[in-house]
Amino acid sequence: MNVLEIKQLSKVFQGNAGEVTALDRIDLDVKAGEFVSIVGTSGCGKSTLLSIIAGLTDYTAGSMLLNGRPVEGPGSDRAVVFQSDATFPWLSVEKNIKYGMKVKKVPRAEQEKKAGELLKLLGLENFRNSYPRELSGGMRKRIDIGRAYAAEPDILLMDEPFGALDVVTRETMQDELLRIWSERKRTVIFVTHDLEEAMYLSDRIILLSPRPGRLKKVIELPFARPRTPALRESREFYELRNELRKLMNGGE
Amino acid sequence: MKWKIISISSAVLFLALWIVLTLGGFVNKLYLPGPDQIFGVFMEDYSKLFRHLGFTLGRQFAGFFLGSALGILVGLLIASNRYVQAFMDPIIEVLRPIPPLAIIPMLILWLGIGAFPQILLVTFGCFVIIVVNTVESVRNVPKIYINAARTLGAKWSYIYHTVVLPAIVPSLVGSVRVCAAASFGLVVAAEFMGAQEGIGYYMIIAQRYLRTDMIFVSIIIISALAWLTDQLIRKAEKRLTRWSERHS
Repeated sequence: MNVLEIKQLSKVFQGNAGEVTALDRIDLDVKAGEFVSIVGTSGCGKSTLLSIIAGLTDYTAGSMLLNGRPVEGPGSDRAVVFQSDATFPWLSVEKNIKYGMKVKKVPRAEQEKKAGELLKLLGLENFRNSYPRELSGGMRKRIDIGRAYAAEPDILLMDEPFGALDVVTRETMQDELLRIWSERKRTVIFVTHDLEEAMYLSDRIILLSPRPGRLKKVIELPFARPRTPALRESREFYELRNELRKLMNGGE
Repeated sequence: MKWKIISISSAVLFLALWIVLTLGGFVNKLYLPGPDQIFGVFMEDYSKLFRHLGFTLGRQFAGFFLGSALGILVGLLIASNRYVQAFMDPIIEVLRPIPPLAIIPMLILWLGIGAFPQILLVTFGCFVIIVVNTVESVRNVPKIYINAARTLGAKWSYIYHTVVLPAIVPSLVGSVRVCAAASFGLVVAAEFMGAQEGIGYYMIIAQRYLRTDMIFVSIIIISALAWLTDQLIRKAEKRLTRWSERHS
């Protein structure tokens, strides 16, 4: 069962120097519960594609169906975790997490229960009354993830969520994300330029080539779950990464 | 610690210089009154001063309150609606560069001498500062917060009061502080030009009788009140913006 069906989707920007094709006839189906990564070098339009799925950017041709229906604008069925810090600094951690539920007017008792569970799952229960500015970058990312999760989206969209973190924190957060995701299955579309990150996390990688953004290759990842940090050091991981890197850098 | 000592000694030195110069008889008392005279004016005139101060503060507060409230309201309207913005832009652009003091003669011509034109002057001065700042701060709300709220399902009016309003509070409080300081100057200047009561009027009378000491006392009182108001707003600011980086 496909949650998302994208057919021949194109995006043309009207720039000062004429038209720029950011995305050229992209096809993409995403199954329920799948973890899909969109990978490519800068300029391949991966963030544009995510923004289109989120409903924050419109497309110029093709079609996009969410649960069989065309998408109009952004909505909580496609919550986004952005690269830069998007936690609301004027709200406490707990209130940040509840934001999407408040929008949906979820009953108060249910809000309390769900926020409590998420705070626990994210390891934030001791910081529920803190403000985001008092916490580290990794912690703030957890809030972002928790806030998106709490909205119970059909698809969780992640736009290079760990791109601004240092290497160690990034790898910790990747493991954290896998842990959270294995406990609470969601369809995830994850954008990154980091091949290893995509390989470590996803079921499937969509490789895009730049200028114009085109679908280059779809790779099903053979690694079993649950995945552990040891996978990053394994030989098959290493070999696949080298192969994909060549592809990404323009090889066939 | 070292810097604190330097600062304190500068204050002490300044005070000592004043005391020596005036009490020692080195300067003409007409130009620079001594602490004894200042104290004398306080003792002699305090009830009168209180009465004048009452008038001044009433007008100052009324104008400050009206101007700030109106400024925030109009600023939010301009920032949230393209039609209002297109309509108001030229009006604001014309009003913005007018130095508030420059309209005093016109206010007196139109409205005479009294509380109303004075309140209007302060209102005008505060309104212009706040309206421009409000529009600017709404524009500066990081887009990412708005997009995050949109992807969490929030609609425009909900985003406005849960994202835009809280996000602009720190900068709004900042401009309210600027207005509070400006409003003291404006109300006194208005009283210079035409009034029958108020601290500015008291100063003009003092000038007429060459009472430097009375002028000094007025300056001290007004400055102290302006400082006190600023402290109060800063207290409120700390409460309102506990979340922002500056105080954490």
